[in-house]
Amino acid sequence: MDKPLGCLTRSGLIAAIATVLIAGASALISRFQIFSPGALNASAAEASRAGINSHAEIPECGACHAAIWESGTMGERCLACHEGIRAEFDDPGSLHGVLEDPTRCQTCHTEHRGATSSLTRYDMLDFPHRMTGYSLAAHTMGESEQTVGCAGCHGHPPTTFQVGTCDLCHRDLDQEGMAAHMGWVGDDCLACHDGEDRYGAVFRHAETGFVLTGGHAEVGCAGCHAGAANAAALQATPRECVACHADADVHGGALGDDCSACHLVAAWAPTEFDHQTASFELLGAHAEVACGDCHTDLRFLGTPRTCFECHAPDDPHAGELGFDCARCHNEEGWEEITLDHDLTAYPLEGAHVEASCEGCHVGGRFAGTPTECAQCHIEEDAHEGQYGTFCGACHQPTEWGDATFDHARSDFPLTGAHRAIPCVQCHEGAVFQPISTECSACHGDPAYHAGLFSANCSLCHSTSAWLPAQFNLAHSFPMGHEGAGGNCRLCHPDTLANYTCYGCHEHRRAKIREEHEEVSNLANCVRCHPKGREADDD
Amino acid sequence: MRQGTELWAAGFTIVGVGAVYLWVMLAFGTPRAGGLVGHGLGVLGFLLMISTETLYSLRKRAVHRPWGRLSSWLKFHIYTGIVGPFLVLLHTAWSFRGLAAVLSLATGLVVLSGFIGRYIYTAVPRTADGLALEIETLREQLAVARQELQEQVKGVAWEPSPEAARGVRASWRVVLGRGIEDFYYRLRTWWQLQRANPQLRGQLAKVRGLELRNIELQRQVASLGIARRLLSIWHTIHIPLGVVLFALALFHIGAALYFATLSR
Repeated sequence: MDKPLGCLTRSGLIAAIATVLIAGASALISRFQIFSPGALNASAAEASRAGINSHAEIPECGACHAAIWESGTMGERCLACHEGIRAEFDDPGSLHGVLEDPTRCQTCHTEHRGATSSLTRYDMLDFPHRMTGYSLAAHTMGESEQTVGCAGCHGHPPTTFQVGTCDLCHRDLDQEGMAAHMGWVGDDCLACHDGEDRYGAVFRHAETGFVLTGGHAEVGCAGCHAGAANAAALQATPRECVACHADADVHGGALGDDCSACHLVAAWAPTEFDHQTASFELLGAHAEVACGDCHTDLRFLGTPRTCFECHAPDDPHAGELGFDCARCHNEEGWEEITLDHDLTAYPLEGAHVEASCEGCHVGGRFAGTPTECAQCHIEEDAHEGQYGTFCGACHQPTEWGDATFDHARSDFPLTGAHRAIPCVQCHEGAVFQPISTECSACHGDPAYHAGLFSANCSLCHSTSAWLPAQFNLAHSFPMGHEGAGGNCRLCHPDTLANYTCYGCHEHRRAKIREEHEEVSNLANCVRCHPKGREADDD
Repeated sequence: MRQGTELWAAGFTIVGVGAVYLWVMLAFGTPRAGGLVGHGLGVLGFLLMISTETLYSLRKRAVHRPWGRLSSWLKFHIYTGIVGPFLVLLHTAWSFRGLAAVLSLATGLVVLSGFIGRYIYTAVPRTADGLALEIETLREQLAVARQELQEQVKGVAWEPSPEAARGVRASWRVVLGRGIEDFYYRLRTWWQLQRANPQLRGQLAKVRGLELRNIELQRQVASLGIARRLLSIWHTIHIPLGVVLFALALFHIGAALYFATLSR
């Protein structure tokens, strides 16, 4: 470097030295007042100390500002004069008594802001108001109409607080509620409210471990907390039902103290008692009836458990079926019978299963119900008693038509085609006895027979079918003529009383006439040919 | 780099920082000198002022180990010399009392002195590296400029300006008053161009530009010695002012540490 820095030039050094000398001298002469960033507060104190009435009259900076090498702090120098404030430190009810470090005066109180400027300048949002025992969590701090300033609650000085101050604002918010509330707890709001978790409309009773639901949500605070005028008394409110509801116990204490075992918070009735715990589960209709129907006079102990004990008056059987209703009935209703008839002496089969109980048990009478068919069905007997009273000999329980009579046991065993026809085809009008067993009783003589035979059909026919028939009587003309094979209609096309030879093989009428010019009656061939042979006419 | 860039940059910085400060002031009140914002402004401003005072001086003297162009360091010197005091001004919280008031006054004086110094400094023609030109070089440049002007005015109805017709004589008024003279010249030229034939307007503007360059060179040739003497005088005043400023600032910082920061 050719030249020294400007500050190291002669003019620079002279200026530096001159400045240091002048500034230093000024500081000493002014007692360091030249470093003061602003005028001190000039408000007169309530009492002077050493002839000083205000901060502005303090002659030296060192009166408040402790030097680095000196012991003590600025706060201690403040308190050396402000002895009354120091006294507050030991009072937890005072403003300074709740501060974490009250000796840091400069945190809230600042100086050098002018002769008339306030000495207390702190942000209300930063002030640990909770330390005073009352949080401002629910009070928006500020100076607008929607917020609360110090003067909104406090007088002067702001460490004071008058009982009843809360009411001034809160009555405007909820006049009726506040009047009722203060009517039973008084006006010492801070005795219960801490501004943070025990205040007004947003108080959450559930957080106390006692949720207000049902009927409890409807009653006023005094309903449970009557006479409690502070937080401790409120918290000491008993939680057991009987503590409040003993007078309302309709059971006279017979069921113990645990109301919640049966009752809901919503109301005394309906209850939520788990009847299973009483070894008597409420099913069907039992679940629908009111408690008092079984527990007369709301007496629960000793309540009968058997059906008949309660339902004896309802018994339409007049006790003749015994006392075990559950044998036939269930809880769903008397009409729903659950009797297993198979377990009785008369299992239900066929149509009996579908029949109504009343159909057999007329008048609801079950004892002595007849078990013989005819005893019920006598009026339905199509046979008018001709076969006795044991219907089951022929009929099934399914329907009357489903009969299974063994005809072989009769005088007319069914064979052949007789086995396939319905009963009524022979037993017209359901008349079964007496009935003729002759064929002609049912089967008329056909015109083809031309009355040649009597009613004894079985001479030629079997029961299998009318045809083929087997002629077993005397027949002068060979039935096996030219392979006729017993086919009657081959020679007797119209009736058995007539015959004709024409229409077969060479027996054409023209040809016969040509060959029998000498015969006048060409219809009676048998007369000349009795054996059917050409040579017969010899 | 354009001429006056550092002034624009300083202006934008001042407007930007000023806008933020204004918003903080309206939203939260005037930042206290001892608060986070006020203290930060003061510390940053002082660091910039320290830079102003030292870095450019060191670079000027670092002939054998130069780092960066001298003109760039001058721009940085001017930029920090404007922005630094502005931040310190915001740090005052508009309270001028005791030593702080004297310190503010000294800061203002140094800044004002700096503007004057820059004005004188620009009267001395320099190379792009900031080195002052010698008179011979200036005369050569003037001869070239005259030749160029004569060629350009051929065929143009042109009359020399009063400044050109009057000529330039060596005087300290020439150095200090050149700004006003140039301003009037530019204003008159603009007026003439507005009334000139539009077809000849471009050539006329070029001629006037060359004429102004001739005048400036004549001025520099004539007053180079005077300009250097004025710059030397200014240094003699400006350097002690700066020293006074920093001496007072150290007193202020010491008192702030003693009475506030280190106070228990």
